[in-house]
Amino acid sequence: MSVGVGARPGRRLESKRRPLVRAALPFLLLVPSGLVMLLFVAALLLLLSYTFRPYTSIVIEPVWTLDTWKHFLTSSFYWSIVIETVELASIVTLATVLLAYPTAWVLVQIRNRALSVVCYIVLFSPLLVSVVVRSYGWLLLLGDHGFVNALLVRLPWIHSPVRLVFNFTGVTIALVHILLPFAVFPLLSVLRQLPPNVREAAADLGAPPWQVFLRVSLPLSLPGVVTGAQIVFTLAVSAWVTTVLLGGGRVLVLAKLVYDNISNLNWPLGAVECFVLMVTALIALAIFGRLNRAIYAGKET
Amino acid sequence: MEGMARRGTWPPLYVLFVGVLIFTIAPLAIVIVNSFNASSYSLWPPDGFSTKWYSIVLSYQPFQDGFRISVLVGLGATAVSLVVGSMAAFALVRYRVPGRNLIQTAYFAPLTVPRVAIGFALFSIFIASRSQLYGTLPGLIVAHTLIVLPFVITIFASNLGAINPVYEEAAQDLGAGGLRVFWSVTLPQMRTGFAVAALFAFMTSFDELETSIFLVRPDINTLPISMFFYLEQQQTPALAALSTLLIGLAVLLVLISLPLLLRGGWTRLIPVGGNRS
Repeated sequence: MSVGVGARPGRRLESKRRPLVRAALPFLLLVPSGLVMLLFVAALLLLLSYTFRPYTSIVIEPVWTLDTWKHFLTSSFYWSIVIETVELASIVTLATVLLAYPTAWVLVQIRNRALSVVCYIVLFSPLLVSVVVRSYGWLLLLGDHGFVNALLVRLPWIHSPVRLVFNFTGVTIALVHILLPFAVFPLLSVLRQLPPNVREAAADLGAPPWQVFLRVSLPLSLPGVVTGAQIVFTLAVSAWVTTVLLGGGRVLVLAKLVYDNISNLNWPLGAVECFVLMVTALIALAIFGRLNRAIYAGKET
Repeated sequence: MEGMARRGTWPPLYVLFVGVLIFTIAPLAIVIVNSFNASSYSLWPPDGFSTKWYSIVLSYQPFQDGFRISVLVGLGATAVSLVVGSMAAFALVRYRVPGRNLIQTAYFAPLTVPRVAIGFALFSIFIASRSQLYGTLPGLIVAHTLIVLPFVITIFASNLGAINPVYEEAAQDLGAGGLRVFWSVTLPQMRTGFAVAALFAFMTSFDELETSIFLVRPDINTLPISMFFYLEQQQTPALAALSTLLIGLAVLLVLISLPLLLRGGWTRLIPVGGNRS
């Protein structure tokens, strides 16, 4: 997870006069950010302590119990929601990466600078627009009397509007849209570094284009695929706004459960769900991290 | 499609690419079109042309308040995270700090925690510590600083890593003190880092919703939260008008910073683009 930090080995800036200040300076510089991190850790620890409290509505009682965890872990209802959350995130990740790959591929091939700038702006501009606005746009497009259905009902075999919102489909489409730039970006950086002479060598040796792609380009760009998938999955598994707005209460995922329980003042259960969600995200991070290491290891042999 | 052509790229990919561009822009385009819809029912095709939603939305009190709060919180979080983040990045890149890798990893921890969990955790500690931070602007600024800090530190760190320390050394050899070197040599070279980090921090804070929703009181909402609650209840084109104004604002921000971004090798500074190994 070390991203770009420490690109150059640190050189000690020398000040002859005050050696004590010099030695303490880097630590003083780290104090403010350290305080922010301390707050973060303390908040998470407090949340963890809530998971071992009984549910008594409003007041957190000073009693320790495992009941909330038992209640969650032994309920098939909660497990089905964990599964639905992972399922949604997996489908979204797969679809996003499948769309992002050809997109990034074509984007790095564009030679015309003006055209390339326009494509970049179109692809990354949604990042600048609030998730609420983008979800609203999808509600307008996919609604029963929206733009897409207005086109669909003209088809001879479709007689009534197709249900595209307030279900799994709508949430998936909107999430793919929102997360697409996050998958395109890491792919761009690996595809740009792809040495063209390796591909040309394969082609000169008589490999047809699809074989050059499958055996040269794709394996070399896999780290970008895995990194993109990692980011998309982590964001999809915890997406709340889009799931609520396009799911219309019918798509139950962990993040929605957290919010609903806290609104109902069941803090211990909400806290347990927070940690289940966190563990799910961390497991996914670990799996993708291992995949990436395996790819690097495979490259060296 | 001239200029795209290159040996060995399969033509259907271009069709797919254009399809993705349309897919990307479609939800924003429909919002803009719908903001001029005369009917209250957001149906397709639009039922007449009207600009009444713009005047309705501009005089709608919750959106006015939300906009003001979001701008204040965004400016606050940007200022705090830029100061805190540049200090941390400077320490990590320019000094040999023991356990540097561990510290870097720790700074990224908030990224792996779901936003709703961060929101609830901060809510709990704001309440439990009796800090008066719940439901206030400082509370929101603290939360947003926590969220954008990993990105800001990364942006500054790659910015600093790209600056050759030879100028700082030269200034030192000429007798400048540490603070003077930082102020008149290092800082001016960090301009691009500050611009990219500020843009990123402000936009992230301005759009933040999933953490903030746990930290606001019902009467003090940020703009995204007001919009979310509005959308849960009704779907009149008023929201489309507001969204169009926000899209215009984002476009304006990008156009203003485009010359800088095109010049400054900004792609290297974007956190997700890094080689995560």
